[in-house]
Amino acid sequence: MCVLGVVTVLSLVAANLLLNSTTRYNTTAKQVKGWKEALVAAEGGADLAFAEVRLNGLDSTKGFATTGNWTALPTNSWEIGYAKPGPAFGANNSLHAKVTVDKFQALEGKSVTDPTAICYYRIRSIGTVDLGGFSRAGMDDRMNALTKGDSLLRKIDFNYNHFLNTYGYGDALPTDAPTVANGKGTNATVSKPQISRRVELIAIPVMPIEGAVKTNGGAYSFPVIDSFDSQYGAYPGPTPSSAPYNTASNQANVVDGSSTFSGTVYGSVTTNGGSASSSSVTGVIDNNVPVAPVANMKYTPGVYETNPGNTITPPARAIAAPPQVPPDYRQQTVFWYHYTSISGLTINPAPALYATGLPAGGIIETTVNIVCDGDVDGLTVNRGALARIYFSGNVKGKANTYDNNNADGIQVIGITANPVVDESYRTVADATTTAASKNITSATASFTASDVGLAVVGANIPAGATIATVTSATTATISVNATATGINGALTVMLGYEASPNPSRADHLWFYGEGTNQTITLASAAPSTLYAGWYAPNADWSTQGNPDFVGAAVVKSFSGNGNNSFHYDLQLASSSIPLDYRVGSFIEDVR
Amino acid sequence: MRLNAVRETAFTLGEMMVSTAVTSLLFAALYTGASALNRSYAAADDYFSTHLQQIRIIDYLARDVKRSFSVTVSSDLKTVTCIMPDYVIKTGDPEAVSDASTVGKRRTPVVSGPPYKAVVDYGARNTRTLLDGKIVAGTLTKLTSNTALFSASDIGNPVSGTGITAGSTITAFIDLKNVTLSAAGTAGTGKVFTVFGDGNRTVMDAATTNASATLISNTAYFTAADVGKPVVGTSIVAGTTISSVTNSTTAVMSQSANATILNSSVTIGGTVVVYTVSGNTITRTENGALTTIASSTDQLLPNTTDWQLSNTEYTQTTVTFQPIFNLGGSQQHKDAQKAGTTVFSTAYLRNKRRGN
Repeated sequence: MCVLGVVTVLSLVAANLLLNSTTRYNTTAKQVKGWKEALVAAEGGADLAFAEVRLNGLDSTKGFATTGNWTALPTNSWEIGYAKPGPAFGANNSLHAKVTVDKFQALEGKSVTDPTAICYYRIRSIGTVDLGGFSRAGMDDRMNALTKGDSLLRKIDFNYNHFLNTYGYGDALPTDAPTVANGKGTNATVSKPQISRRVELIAIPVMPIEGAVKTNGGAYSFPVIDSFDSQYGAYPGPTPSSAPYNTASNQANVVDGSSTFSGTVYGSVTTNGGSASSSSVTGVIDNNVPVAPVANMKYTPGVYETNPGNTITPPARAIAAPPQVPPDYRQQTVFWYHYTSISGLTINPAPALYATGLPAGGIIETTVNIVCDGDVDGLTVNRGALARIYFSGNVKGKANTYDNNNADGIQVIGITANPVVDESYRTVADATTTAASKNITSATASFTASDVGLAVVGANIPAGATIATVTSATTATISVNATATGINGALTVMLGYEASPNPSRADHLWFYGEGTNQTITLASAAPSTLYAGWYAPNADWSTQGNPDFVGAAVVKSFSGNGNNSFHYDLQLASSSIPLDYRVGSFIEDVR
Repeated sequence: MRLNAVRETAFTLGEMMVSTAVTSLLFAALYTGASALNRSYAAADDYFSTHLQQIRIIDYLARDVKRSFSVTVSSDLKTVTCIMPDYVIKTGDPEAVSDASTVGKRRTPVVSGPPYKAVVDYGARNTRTLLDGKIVAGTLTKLTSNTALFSASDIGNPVSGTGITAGSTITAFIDLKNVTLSAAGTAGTGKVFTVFGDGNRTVMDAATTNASATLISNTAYFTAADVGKPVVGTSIVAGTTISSVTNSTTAVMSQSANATILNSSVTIGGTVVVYTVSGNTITRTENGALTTIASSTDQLLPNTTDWQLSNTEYTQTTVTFQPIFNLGGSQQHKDAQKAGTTVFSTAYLRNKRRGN
């Protein structure tokens, strides 16, 4: 009996030991598993948001639908999982996420509040996993020779959400007092153990232009190509010309989708098995870069205007006048036309609509989209018009039959609604801007109180900016933050004039190939310069003789001979219409 | 009278011997079982403890690799260096110098460059414009501004503006409103000055020459504070730091560039996390401070470390640990026990490297 008793007691001790061990290991394993799954939950929420960004970034009227439980916030941002249920998945919906998305920066120096702006999006996602069992620590946060601080890595919330308690919504200090604004202590109690992880992703638009020229599998053979930035004015050399070339910029990057490459490039080159060498390329060379097939540009045509023949002058029209309620008297600036073919077409901007407050006789920058079922043979785009030609046939004719009469840099296009209409505007060359600051300075600007409210344009200054206050003759503030720090930049105070929001001349004329086997053949002509962007991935682009070209191209193949030169306008890299969005940055808040 | 005879009974010797033998056997079995149980528990505990450390170090590694903008591995495969953005503003950071209320806040990045090679920059260089600058006759090397919030971290920072001699830098910190310039300026009030900070930042105009350690950027405004900071870019060899600063536009790197390139994006500074295998221990340091170790009574021996980097888009990590079991039989038996503790991790970086 004694022996049996001893055996029984020892067995109970052993069983209890094993049970404790099992519990401990199960708890630890679940906590480790939960920590990993919390990242899955966070990334799941971020993926959900990214899908909405891909909708909203391409069409601001889409994405973040309230029917999908998204809540629109006042400042170009949205959230899910806060006021309304967020995504939940996993066993018993034990994984869930809270996500906020905001537009925090726009391309081309525009404001994120500008409905035409192409924006970068910030996605902040919190993934949370509910842990089973009691509030029991299976891990150890001590740091010594035996215990290595498991809990320092995997922070488990047993009774309180440690992040909310310590950092609030993420921008508070541990020593800060709890407030509604900083979120500290708000709903910090947790009903069951959980683990949360926080990630931040930056979504970046994928634009059509990745460099000066990209060929979609075809050969690249062109005499010489260089680059410049039209926001600082026109190409710094004479055009058309064979020399000198703008070697200082060195950003005329060429992406050759074939193994055939020839020509001089002031920039970097990639080929698909070619033999580009440093003898004709100034930048980095990689001869082993395959190019994924490029699809034609997608577009959704609007309501076509009546075909006016060979001269387009869009009507002055409010966006939504009576009887629509409420009326919207802003100027309509996008129009659609349909042609079977184009030959010698002239495209003008729309006249200013009087109801908007613009004086009669003025013009307003107007986008004219044309769907052409056949060939294009010469056209003229006048100042203030931005033409997009979606063609299904071919582009032909002499290069000098394509006129783009807009201008690089600051382009005055009309008279503003400002009551003080001055027949002049002034430009200084010593302006200083500071990134993320509204301050501008210029020793020669002679700012006066009457400048307040006037449009101001220049390097690093977002489109639509006006002078907000005048501190002194040399110092003023503008209505929005400058996009970058700059010294001795060009600054123009528009006294009563409207400037084009687009500094690129080439960006005012785009050719989008929509066919499957197209050609763009620009014949030799008297020396001339053609300013345009080309996005025709199924078109063979060729020219000869001595035309100059300013712009960028995505085509099937690209060839020229004679005295041709191509000047890549860096502004085109961020213009046109986004093709998609991609995640450009990932970071985890590990506090 | 006859007394009742008392009948005394007892185990016979044989019974005693049998009983003792059975009891001995039982206790022996019990002891053996308890001992085996104890050894088994100890071994299991060692195994789980070791395994937890392996999981933890891999979890650390995966997390750090994923949030880095640069990951490099030494040629002997024993050191991994991760450079990651400074996400949260800390005391002493450039923004905090001018606005202490920013401490603890998450940084809003600045996206620079064209979209196809956009750089998401979480750095902050603390460049700022002073609208109330003043230089007084008699002390022409002293710059005064009531709004500057100067600090010792401004020493070495370049200054430009009306009345400032070209190439001037701040040579001494006097107080929040006053600093000393390297060259005398022109007296006047209401001057506008720009003070260029030296915080972590990304520049887009960097130039390198193949086989040269010189790094040039007109917008970097290098200062002595940049020495030792990591520098990451397309033509810059992994693990490179700034060795010395020649002037505000030129610095010397610790390793020569591997390509000649102009107008390239280069990131200067960031949080540096280093994993090092040293003997039987793996250590993790963050900006030089030890943060975690993987080692135990079982001692970990790295068997293989295999990294596959493709423009740092993803990293596959296989680390095989070899726990040394103190218990067991022959060496062959011990070696057999070491197998099966390979930990595999794939850390997929969603972003391409944040350089070019």
